[in-house]
Amino acid sequence: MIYRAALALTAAGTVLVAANWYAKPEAGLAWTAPLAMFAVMFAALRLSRRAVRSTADGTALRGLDWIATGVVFGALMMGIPLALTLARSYGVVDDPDLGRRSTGVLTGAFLVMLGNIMPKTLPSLSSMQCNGARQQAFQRFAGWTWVLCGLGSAIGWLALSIDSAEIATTVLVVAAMVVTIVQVLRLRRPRNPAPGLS
Amino acid sequence: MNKVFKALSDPSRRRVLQLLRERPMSAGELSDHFEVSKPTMSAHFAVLQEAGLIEAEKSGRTIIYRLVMSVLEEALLGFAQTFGWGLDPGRRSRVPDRKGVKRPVRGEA
Repeated sequence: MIYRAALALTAAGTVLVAANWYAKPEAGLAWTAPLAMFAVMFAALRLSRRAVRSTADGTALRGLDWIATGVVFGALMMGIPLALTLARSYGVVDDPDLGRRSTGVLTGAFLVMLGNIMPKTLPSLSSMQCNGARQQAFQRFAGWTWVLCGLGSAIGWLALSIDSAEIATTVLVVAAMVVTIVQVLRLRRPRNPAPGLS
Repeated sequence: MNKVFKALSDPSRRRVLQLLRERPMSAGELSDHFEVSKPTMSAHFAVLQEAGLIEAEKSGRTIIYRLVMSVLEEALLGFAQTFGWGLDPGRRSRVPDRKGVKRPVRGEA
């Protein structure tokens, strides 16, 4: 299902690039960059699908879902601004910032999705380098951090002016990165066992 | 999502999730916190596993359970705790306590 959605969005994006090129031929080579991106997405989908067919493994299938989800978000992030640019060139839309806003909101939604599943992707207890409880606590904390960062970012792009939204979302993302890195460093630091525990 | 709501509707299962928030625990350690039979606890674990909220991993002869809740599921758990879903004493648990159930004896009212 998600694979088909990814293929459809890649095809739609390619059509949008072609339509934009037709509407604004003077931009010329600027349209080749999104076209190349959509070609890479399509190739990634097809190659991963071929690899999954040859292995028929559950983990590989999950991997294909992940790649397809990434392509869906990538295609939406590029496709929506392309659609809005096309609409502007035909005079349907007046707001010049709508494309940037929609990309910002989608990026926020992507961060929310990534953060949401972060605590679910725990490695097996036997393969862990550190205490299972600390690893679990770290992934839960990181998940919440990125969900809140994504939500704040999406709301910022919806509610603030373009300049303020850019500053606010940059500050949010940098803060989330710093918090996550500090937590990773704390996770790597060996902790002395509590007295009485062997 | 229905499975998640079903899993979160029971106070005992929510307590299991709360305990697993601290650290991964063995089935025995978890059962020690409840006054219900082991088959009942196993049924609770099965419901939680089916909903994808916990994962079991074998370590020697013991089964270690650990939390694998997404942020949204954890937020739902928080709501369930706050607003007390399924805390109605009339429907404490849908999982029958096979060992603990006292069968009526003839002659008893």
